Amino acid sequence: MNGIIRTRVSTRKALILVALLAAAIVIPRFLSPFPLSVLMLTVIFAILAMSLDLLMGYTGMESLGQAAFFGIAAYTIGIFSTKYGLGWEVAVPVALLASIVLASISAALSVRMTGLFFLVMTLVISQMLWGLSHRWGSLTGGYLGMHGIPRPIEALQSNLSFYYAILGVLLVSALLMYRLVRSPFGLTLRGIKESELRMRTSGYNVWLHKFIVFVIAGAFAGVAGVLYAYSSQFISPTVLGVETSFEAMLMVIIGGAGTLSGPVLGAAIVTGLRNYLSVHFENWVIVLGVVYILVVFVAPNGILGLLPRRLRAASGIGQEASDVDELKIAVLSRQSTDQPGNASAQSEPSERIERERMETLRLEGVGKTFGQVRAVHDFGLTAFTGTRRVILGPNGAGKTSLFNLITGVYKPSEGDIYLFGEKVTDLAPHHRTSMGLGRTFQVTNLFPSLTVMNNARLGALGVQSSKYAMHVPVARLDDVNERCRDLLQLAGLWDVRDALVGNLSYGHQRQLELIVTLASDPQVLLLDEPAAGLSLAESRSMVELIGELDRRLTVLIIEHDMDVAFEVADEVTVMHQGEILAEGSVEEIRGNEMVREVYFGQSYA
Amino acid sequence: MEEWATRILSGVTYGGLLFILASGFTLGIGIMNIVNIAHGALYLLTAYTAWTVFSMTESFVLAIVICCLTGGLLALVLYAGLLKRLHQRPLAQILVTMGVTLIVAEFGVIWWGGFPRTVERPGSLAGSIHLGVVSFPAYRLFMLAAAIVVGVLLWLLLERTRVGALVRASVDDEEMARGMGVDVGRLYFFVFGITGILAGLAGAIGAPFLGAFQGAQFEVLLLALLVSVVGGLGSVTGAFIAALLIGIIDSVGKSLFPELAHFTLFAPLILVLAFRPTGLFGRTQIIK
Amino acid sequence: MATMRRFLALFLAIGLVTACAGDDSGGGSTTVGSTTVGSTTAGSTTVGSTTGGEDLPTLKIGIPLPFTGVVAESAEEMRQTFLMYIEEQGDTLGGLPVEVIFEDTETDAELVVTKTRKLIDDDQVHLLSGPMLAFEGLAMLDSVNEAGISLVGQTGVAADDYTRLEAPTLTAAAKATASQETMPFGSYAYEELGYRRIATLGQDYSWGYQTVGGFQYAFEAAGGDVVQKLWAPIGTTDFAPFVNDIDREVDAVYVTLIGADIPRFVEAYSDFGLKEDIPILSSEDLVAQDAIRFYSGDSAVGIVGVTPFTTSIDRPEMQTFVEAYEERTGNVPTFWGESAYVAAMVIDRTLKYVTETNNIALQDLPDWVRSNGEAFATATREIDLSDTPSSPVTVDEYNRQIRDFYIVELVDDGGTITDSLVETVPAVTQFWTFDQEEFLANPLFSRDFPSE
Repeated sequence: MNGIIRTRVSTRKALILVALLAAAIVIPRFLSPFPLSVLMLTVIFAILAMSLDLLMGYTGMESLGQAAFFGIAAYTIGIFSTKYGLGWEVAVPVALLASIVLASISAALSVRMTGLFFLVMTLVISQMLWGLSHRWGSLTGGYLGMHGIPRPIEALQSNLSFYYAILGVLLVSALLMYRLVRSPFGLTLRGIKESELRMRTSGYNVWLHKFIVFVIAGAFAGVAGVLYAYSSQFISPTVLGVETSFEAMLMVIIGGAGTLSGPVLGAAIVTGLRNYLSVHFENWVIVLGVVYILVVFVAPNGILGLLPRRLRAASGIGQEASDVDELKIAVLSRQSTDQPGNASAQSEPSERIERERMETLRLEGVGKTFGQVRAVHDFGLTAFTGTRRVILGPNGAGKTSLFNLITGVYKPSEGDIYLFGEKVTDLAPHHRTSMGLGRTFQVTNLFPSLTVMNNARLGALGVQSSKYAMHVPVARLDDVNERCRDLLQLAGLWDVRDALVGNLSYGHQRQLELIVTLASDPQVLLLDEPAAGLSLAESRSMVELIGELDRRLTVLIIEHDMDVAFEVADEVTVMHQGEILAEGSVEEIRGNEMVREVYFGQSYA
Repeated sequence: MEEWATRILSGVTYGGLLFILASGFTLGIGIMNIVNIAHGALYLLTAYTAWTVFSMTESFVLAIVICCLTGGLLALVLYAGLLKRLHQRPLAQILVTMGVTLIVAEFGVIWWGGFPRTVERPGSLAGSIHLGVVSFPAYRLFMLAAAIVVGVLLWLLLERTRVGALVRASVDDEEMARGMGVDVGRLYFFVFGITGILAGLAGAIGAPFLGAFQGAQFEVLLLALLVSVVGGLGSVTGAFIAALLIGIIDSVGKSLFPELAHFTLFAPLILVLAFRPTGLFGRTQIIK
Repeated sequence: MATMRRFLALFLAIGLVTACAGDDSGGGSTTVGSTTVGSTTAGSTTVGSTTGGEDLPTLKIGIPLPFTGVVAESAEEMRQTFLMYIEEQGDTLGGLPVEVIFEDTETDAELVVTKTRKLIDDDQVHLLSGPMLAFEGLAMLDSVNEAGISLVGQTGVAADDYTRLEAPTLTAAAKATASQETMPFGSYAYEELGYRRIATLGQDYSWGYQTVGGFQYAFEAAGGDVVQKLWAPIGTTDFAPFVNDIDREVDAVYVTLIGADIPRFVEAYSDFGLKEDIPILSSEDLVAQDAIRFYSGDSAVGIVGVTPFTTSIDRPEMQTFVEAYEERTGNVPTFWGESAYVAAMVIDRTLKYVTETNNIALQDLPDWVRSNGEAFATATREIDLSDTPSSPVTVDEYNRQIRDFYIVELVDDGGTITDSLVETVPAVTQFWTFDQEEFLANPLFSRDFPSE
């Protein structure tokens, strides 16, 4: 049933696209030169806006610096062709190279910064270039710019023919981005936007992914810059100015971020506005200023976001994240004939477990201090294959901090941590995950705007090298998809695999939380209050699920719910004010007076 | 020798102006995480205002007072009317302030026309002062003195007054501060007003030196950005040091490397980006 | 259904693009000026009646100018003087009623190109005039050449480059070249002022290179020596480094700067006490009316500059022009406005000339003009321009103006600064006293030529 609806949607979409394409090809023949030149600008800025959307809409990186890569490519073309008389065969590759190099440098400098600072850094870099282009009159012609840039080849001399050329480039760019967005790498970008922390603990080198997409976006911006220089045959410092960067952002926002068609629409609207407002209003700049303000208050999700939600959902707008690949799943998926509750959540035994009993996790004198607060102090623990240990303790005892230390989200102030005998104290979270460490979160940390299936995929991809693949749709990674199917079926979530996580019940989310972690094939599993907030029945299901796990896994579990805790675990560590209060077997701890007093407060049967 | 003294002093005094230009901008970022793109436009408006006031009354003091009031008032209106509703939405605030920049600059054209205006140096500050063998323009020394005064006052405000303590607490943990009864909204209102006053002061003091001109909305923004990033976003101390540093490097650099005159302003930024991207006094926890 | 809406939304965008195709060719395509003088419909001005009598065709002239942006006021001045001339001729040019279509280039050099194409193709103008900023004409050149339409240049065709470029339909009868104005000044500095060693400070782009270059070339040819050449990036905020670097042993400093940099430099120069010791010589920029208005105090007093336009000359045509403009707008005109005014004059008289010599019926005149851009431009050499406001003008074989230049000094006239005439240099060509062939064999004046 679902499959049929989706087919209809994608056919509808395809029809619209074809109609638009036809219009884009036919109409310009009848346009007079001025509207044609505005249309050409629209196409060029559409590419620029799309490049920004890759960053903003898909990866959540808000950048005000795209003008830098746009402008440097344009200026390279200008300088090479007018000052040195070089042809496009030399100028274009160098221009693109310039964009890529600049983007790499910018990325290296700014990607590790968070939100606001990243924004300012991107702004300042492009502003510096603008300032330079203004002042360096001998190279760039200063504020009057460079003129007389010849078209690359004779055949493209006329505006109409050049228009078709750039339309072609737009289509190719859109196609490439489409593939990118559908690929595993594209999925990781969306994951990063939703929850960077989850991505890092799922095995992704988030910095690297951001770096790569930043450079890719810079390259596309460079393409737009090259086209701009050849199209207008004239450039001036405005291409590097704040206004260009801001307008690109305005285009993305007006059109709707996170979609590929949004920026194109936005480009059309903003370019049209710019060029036609001035015809009718002397102080048109004020109108533009008002638009900036209005967009923020009235249409933060873009013009399409103003449509009624029901209609939006039915047409598939704003949900490009979950469409056609789901169709493929419906078509390709085999009916699962595996026994439910297959004994092993991992289909293959991990290579890491060579002997029956091997040390998996060891903490020695681990501590963490925040300023004056000692969150964890002198914590020691050794776990082996098959260890099932629960960490108990009142709130503020340092349990979650302990998990953060083990996973690498916090760096310890003292002590060392060993995974499978190797010292990992200074290792980043994603490395630890790839070694076989997995962790769930106390507060559900999933990717709410993505489907259940995509959430599982992200869990699985984290430890696969195919996470960098950009050329295949993620729906075609059979091994990953199979694994996800198995896990989802295990948790009874297969039927809702196309639902957006944000729409799931809390209970389902908690289960998915576990599944996503399991998907990375961890040998050491840290469960942070897996039953938190669950009803009795749901807790039961959770316990069953945990019970399905391979007996060879090391499991550390933080729990308040004693039923769950003592069913799952064999050993107990009780923490109090950051230190170990007591440890031992379940029976020992149950009988421990001191623990009872401190923790339970009253007798517990 | 005296050449070098003049060069360095020129740079330092220029740095004084840069600090005044940037102080309001970096304060807004540091305390409220607001990147006020309209900061340059505020300069434009108040610099033109200074020119108007001065041509009508010949009183520089009056110009300063009116500019500070204008700047403060505009900032308050901007905050209450627009920015407050966008609390903790930095991108939205940036877009809105960009819109405001365009609007304010265009009003500048409507009211004052497109031509640049310079304010005459007020009488007492018009001449030169003799410092030993060097004769140095008085107005530049005034700029430096003003910068020092502003810097000290800001420091006192933030570090030594109750209001300052409340501000710092709110920056650290807003929820906690609210929970303790601090009227965070009013506090931010007050602080943003201060950034406006600083912008107004920059306009008044900058008018005789930089002039009031179309294009200032972006030029001054660039300068403010430079100083803020080099000094470390949000750090007033950093801005002060950075401003002086930039001024000196620009001045000395232009003399030593005239071929690179267009780079000298950006050299400190490039160095900082290469070796210490968070800026001289920036917060390091913004790096993961 | 919803997809219909999306379809529509996208078509709206495309519609935006095509929407104004109809608009433009009609009555209005430009910005509205801030003045309401004359019968101005939204930007396009139809002057002269087409009713009554012969039903003459309308001559369409397209003029791109930066009506928004930093030089908007001067652009407006150029619009006003152009229209003023037409009205003085009884609302006709060359006997034809005129429609002038002004286009706003928003001080964006790139828009000059777009708007030019629009004027040529959409509006089907018969002639182009303008632009305003010194090198914008170069931006228009490709389109102009391609269309074969004549461009009657205003201040925006001042580049030395044109003489060496393919520009058959261009006439610069209303504007001298950049170096044309400063070369006589260079000779003057040596011969009359007795200067021997000079330092130069130029804005670091083409206008700076060509004006400084011209000055230096002539000065050194006369025997002088330019010992130091400084270049200031556009938008320099602090001129102290430059001022402090100036060689104190020179007799004078020659300066070309633009815009807001002018008062900044002049103030810094005065601040550091050089004003008393080393006089400033300058291009037209520092002594022009719009620069004078914005100096403060007396820091600019004593600057000696060369200019094509000054109200201090004793010339009846100048007085008439100034009075007429003052009556029209309440302001004093500058060289910007005069160039536009002369452009209109050139169009008017050339039209009359070609009508006579080629025996063209007025009915056919507009079309003839559009199809014979080169002939029209060439014809500008033949007309009488002895009565332009600022100087008698003749036109050389490159369609370039030959004119008088004025050396003025800024003086304190009871509290306000004005320019006062010092010397007139008559009939200056773009080659000054140099051999034409040799001059053209040299490279264009640039940052490195002539060298220090």
